[in-house]
Amino acid sequence: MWHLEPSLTDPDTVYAGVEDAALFKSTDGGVSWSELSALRGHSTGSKWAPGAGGLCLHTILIDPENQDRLYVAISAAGAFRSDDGGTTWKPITKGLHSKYLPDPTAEVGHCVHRIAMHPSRPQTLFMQKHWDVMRSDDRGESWQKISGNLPTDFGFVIDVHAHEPETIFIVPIKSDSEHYPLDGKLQVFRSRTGGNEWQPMTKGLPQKDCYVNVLREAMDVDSLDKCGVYFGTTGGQVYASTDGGESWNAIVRDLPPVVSIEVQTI
Amino acid sequence: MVRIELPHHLRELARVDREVLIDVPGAVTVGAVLDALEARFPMLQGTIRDHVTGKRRPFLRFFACEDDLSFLPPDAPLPDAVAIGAEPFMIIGAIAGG
Amino acid sequence: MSGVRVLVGTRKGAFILTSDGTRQDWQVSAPQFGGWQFYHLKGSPVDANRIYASQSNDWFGQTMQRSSDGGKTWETVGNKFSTTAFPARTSGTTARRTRGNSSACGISSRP
Repeated sequence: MWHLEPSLTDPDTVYAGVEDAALFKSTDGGVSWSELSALRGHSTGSKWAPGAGGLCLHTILIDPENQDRLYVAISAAGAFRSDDGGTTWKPITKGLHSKYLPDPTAEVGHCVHRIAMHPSRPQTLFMQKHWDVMRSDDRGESWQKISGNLPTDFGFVIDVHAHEPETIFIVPIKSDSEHYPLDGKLQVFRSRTGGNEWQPMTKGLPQKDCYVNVLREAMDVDSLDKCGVYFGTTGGQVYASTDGGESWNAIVRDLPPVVSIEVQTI
Repeated sequence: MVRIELPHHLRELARVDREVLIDVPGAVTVGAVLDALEARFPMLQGTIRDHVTGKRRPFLRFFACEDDLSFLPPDAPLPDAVAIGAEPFMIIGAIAGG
Repeated sequence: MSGVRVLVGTRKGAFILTSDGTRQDWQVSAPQFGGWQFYHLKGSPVDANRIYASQSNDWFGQTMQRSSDGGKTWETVGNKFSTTAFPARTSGTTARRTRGNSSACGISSRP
């Protein structure tokens, strides 16, 4: 199971995204699970193809203004939205371009790696896909590329500053064939303009001989006044910044390879 | 009572010691032993055999009395020594790297 | 809001890192369920003590953990994920052996 998304209002309700791309929901604290089967039963389902990591439902977002609106992302089927609590779904991929597909702008088949949303602007979504960083300002109806000046736009994580809805963080890596930081330098890229203009944030991060990866679930932010940003690497480090990404510090160095990071502000 | 030896990770889930004693009603078959084990420790459901097919998970093996019983059908009776608790029914994870 | 708790899922266990509001000094928990891969741990937004975790292992498959005390103790909850929309599948999501690929999806040019 790739992703858990607890309800915004009920501690006993939680969604789960699993491999073979299915979405489940529990309302009894995880004791029993039922599938929201309309997603896999979608008319496009026969066209979904797994990526090398399998066909995984790895991202679930709940719209804080309307909790019946759910977004999911599936590698490598794409992104889908439901406006009725999971009863019906539609692909939300208009504007995505994937050159490896027979039809690069097909409705399904895009390898979406991650989608992020700021709770104060639920209509705006940011996406890191298999190449390209994208944004939508209409709940996924259409997407625009915001890679801008990035030296590489392949990557997995994407997240939004807790208090600045137009400040986004990514950790791009060299390519789909080589999942390494570009030139052996671990760089977090930050845009304060909602994309297109990106700056590398490197202070405190290794700038040579670094070949770790940051997996799609492995970045999050806290909501303290000075928003903290955290990410974990396959090398077992967890890095944190308490100044909006200007500088970083490893808060632990020698864990097993990190697969996911979630931050609770308590 | 049937003695069952569990591998480390399942002992951790079930919060038990290496060996558990399980009362198996009726014929002591592979299936009956696992049914009784899972009834007593519901958190082990799905970890030894598939929820739906009931088949043993591929990286696990069943042993007793120095024999590999992994390929017995579920209704196959276990040795008398297991049924009377003289010998344990062992659930073992295949040795593999990582 | 006086502190931060970072829930870390790794290939061998889950870890909980805690700090106060300064985020200068961090306590690192012992590994939770060290023999299991944790794909994801996430807390409830309305109850910080309620945490769900997805736990899997090549031998024993998928299990789920739930904490109601901020990760100090855990109980195993349901792991039966039966799907219906596609041809009948075995329940549960068995851990894929090609691990290392919770990043990989190299469709285009991976050799």
